[in-house]
Amino acid sequence: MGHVKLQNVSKHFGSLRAVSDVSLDIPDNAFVTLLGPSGCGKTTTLNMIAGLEKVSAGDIFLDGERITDWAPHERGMAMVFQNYALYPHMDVYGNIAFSLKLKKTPKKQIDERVQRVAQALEVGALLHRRITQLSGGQQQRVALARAMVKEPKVFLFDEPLSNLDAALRTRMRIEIKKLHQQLRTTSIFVTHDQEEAMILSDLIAVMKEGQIVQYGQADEVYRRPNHLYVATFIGKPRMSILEGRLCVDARDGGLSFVSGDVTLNWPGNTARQLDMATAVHMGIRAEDVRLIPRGNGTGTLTGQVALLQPLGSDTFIDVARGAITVTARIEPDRHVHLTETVTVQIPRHKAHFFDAQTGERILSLDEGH
Amino acid sequence: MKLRKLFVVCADMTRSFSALFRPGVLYALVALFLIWTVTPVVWVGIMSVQPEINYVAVPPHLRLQDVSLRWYSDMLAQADFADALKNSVIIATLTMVFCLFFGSLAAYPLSRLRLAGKRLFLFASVVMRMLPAIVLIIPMFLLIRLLGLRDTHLGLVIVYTTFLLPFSIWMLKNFFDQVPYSLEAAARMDGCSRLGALWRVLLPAVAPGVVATAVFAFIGAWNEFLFGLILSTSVATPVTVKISALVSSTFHTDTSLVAAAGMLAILPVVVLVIVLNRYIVRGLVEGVKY
Amino acid sequence: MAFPTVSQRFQRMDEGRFGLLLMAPTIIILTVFLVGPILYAIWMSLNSMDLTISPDADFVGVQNYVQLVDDPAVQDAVPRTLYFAGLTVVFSTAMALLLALVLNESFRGRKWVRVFILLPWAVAPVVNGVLWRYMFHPQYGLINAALYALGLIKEYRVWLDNAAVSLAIASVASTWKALPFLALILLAALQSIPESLYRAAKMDGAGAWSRFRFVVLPHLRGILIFVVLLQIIVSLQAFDLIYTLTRGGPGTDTVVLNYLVYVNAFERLNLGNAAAMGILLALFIVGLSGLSLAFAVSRRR
Repeated sequence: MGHVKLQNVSKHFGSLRAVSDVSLDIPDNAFVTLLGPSGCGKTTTLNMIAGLEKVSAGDIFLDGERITDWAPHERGMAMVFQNYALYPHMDVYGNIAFSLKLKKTPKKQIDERVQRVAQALEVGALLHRRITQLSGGQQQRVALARAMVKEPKVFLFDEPLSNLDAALRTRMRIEIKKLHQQLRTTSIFVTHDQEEAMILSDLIAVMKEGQIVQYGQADEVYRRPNHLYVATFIGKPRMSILEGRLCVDARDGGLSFVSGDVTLNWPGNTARQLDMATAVHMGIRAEDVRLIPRGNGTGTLTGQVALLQPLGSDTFIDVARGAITVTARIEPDRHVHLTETVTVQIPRHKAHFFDAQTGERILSLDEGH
Repeated sequence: MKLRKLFVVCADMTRSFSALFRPGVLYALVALFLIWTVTPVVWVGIMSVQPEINYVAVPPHLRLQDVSLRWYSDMLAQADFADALKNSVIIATLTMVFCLFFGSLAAYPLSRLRLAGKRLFLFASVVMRMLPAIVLIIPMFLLIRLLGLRDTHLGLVIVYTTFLLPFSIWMLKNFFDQVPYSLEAAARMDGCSRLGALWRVLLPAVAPGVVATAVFAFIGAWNEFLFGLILSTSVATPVTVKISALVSSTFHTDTSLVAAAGMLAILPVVVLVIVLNRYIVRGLVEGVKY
Repeated sequence: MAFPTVSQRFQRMDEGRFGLLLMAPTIIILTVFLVGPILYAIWMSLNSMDLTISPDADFVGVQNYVQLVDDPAVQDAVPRTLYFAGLTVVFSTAMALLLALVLNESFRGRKWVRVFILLPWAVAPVVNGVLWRYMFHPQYGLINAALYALGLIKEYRVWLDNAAVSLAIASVASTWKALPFLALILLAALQSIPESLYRAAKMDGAGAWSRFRFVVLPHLRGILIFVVLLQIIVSLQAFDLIYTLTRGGPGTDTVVLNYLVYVNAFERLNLGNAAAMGILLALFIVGLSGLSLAFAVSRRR
């Protein structure tokens, strides 16, 4: 009970199009993240789902019912805010109980439910404190409790962890994930932090300038980004992007990527015919790039180490050749030093090719393999 | 000589860098300002508890044993003055209530909602307040008379509210602006209507600001003179008009009585200022932002 | 979810219309009781409405405005107004700055001082006039008593028989009342000056006066101009004070411009004239307000 569907939803403020023609199917029990930079329309979309913002066009459905015109509290949803939005003039108990009081729930029931939720989130001891006396983490828990006590069909999260320091953030992330595993309530989460999205979500919708660029399983969005924007937004370290031209050898179906004086060749049977050398952006993730002993081979690049980033468990090196830089992940006990000349290999089936004009994926990953 | 220099340097070092006055000078100035501020009120206060002969003498011959509150009780015993005080209380309180009510209703959309002509309204309301009230006296008089509200509490309340409303809206809007919208969003998610969110969540969240606005409206109405003078004759006369009449009366009234009346006229506002000091200061500084 | 109830329709109302609905009572009140009278006053100013001549109104266009230039009462009132405003501005700005500087420093009892300093702000302008009238009273004024006790005068003086002195006293009274507010906003501006600037100045060897000149004053430039303009506006609007202090006297020697409007309307019963003067004054004040707004905003930079 928490299947949310958006159908061609748009929102404009005067001439500003904040959200354009967004369609989203959020299955019951799923944890879905709206991911994107600030201004991409993710919060506006969330507000429309909540009913805080009226849609300019389109419809929103909950479990098959059209809720587009419903008031926020009629939708059975609860929201957790970035700045907690706790009522400063009430104590913790009052904050949690507020929605129940408005519904005229009998006092005994209110007490029961508040206590239960407070215990679950470990804020039971704070029930009679004033909000101003709480720490950031405690406030966020109270905000969560306030949402939970309503027993909603859908949880809405508006960048709830952005105001917390790094350590607290990681802890609260785990809390939220555990909560979802426990309650299995549909959750819609808004964030600009792709790591957060990857850790928490079943499904990710990557947004840009009011539109959804890609929507799919977290795994899928990571491995098969269908747009340059998605490819570079998700993943840490950022995917290496090489600008150049791609062509298919008519005779043997081999694939060639040329950029400056760098040529990467992969033999094989590329079914697709590319007319001429197409301008592309090639992307490759650091963990897919291998360091190999000097030499030439399929899809190899020789260059100099320009940057070393030792992270303890992994080390990332930037290999530069002319205008090209590729980030590679190497084993921590493999020692290289700056300006050393190394060779890296880029496997054909891990490389992503995006049209230089539109940014869309050109070649499917398993084509020509 | 060296020792003195050392002392000065040490004293200098313990003070903050923004200190510009030597301690002696500082305290002297503080004392002077206090005297400056308090003297007019204190003098008239003394006049109100001493028989006239005492302070008419050259020089004044004030005697502690002559201190008495009888002029106060005499003044309060006079029906028309007691009525004037009552009128002021009623009118100022009602004005305050109206300003808060209509003010928050108007400040809410101005602060929260996207409206066309918002800036225009705010600018216009500030500017209109700057008009010399005298210009409007005649039209206002005609209008009030037309409505049959001449010399009534309601008439004065309406007029006072009209003049104090823009400023109240301005102040409340500034206070509302400081509360993030997510607070009302949370309230609406919890089940409040939009207006419900205003009354139950937003206003309580700016409670100090509401107090400041209320105090400003009350004092503004209490201190109003011109419209009270013209628009009331006997029934609804506020105390400011009464005082003016007493002072310029051609009959020789006991000056101590007039002094007592003056003290009574400012007593409520003085009490408000002392008790609600924090809110007033905050309101003056924060609420008057552009 | 059948047919929506009234409150539900209220809820779903478009934001823009909801906002207008909330503002409706205010807009109605202000339109009827503020805009209406203003428009009527403008109409009045375009008519000859001398009640001593006839109870009827005659449309005369801008004649009233033109006549103001040659009106001897106006010509007398202008220098008085300038004098009064000038004194008030200088006096109140200087004192407010000094008080703000004093309050900016920490000393024992500072909290209490702030409470007392606020007192004049709450006093009605009418009562303000009464207070100072009694301070300078020929028979029982404190000023007389103090000066006599100090041996500076041989006998009690009448202070309010002289126009220049009376207007000066009015300036004092006006300053007395305005001081708390002005000092507070100057104080707020002072407190926004970063401590590090003073420290840097001290490192460069600046004494107290130099620090004032080179750290404080530049920062306060905008807000000081705002204060000056504000006090000019307040002076132009002074009525209650003059009414209780001098009633325009002796004779008509302390009739300043705003008071002249009252005289024209209620004593000379020349309504058209009074309205025209009032409106001109209002336009001038609006102009100054706009200017002061610009400086109030600029101080935030």
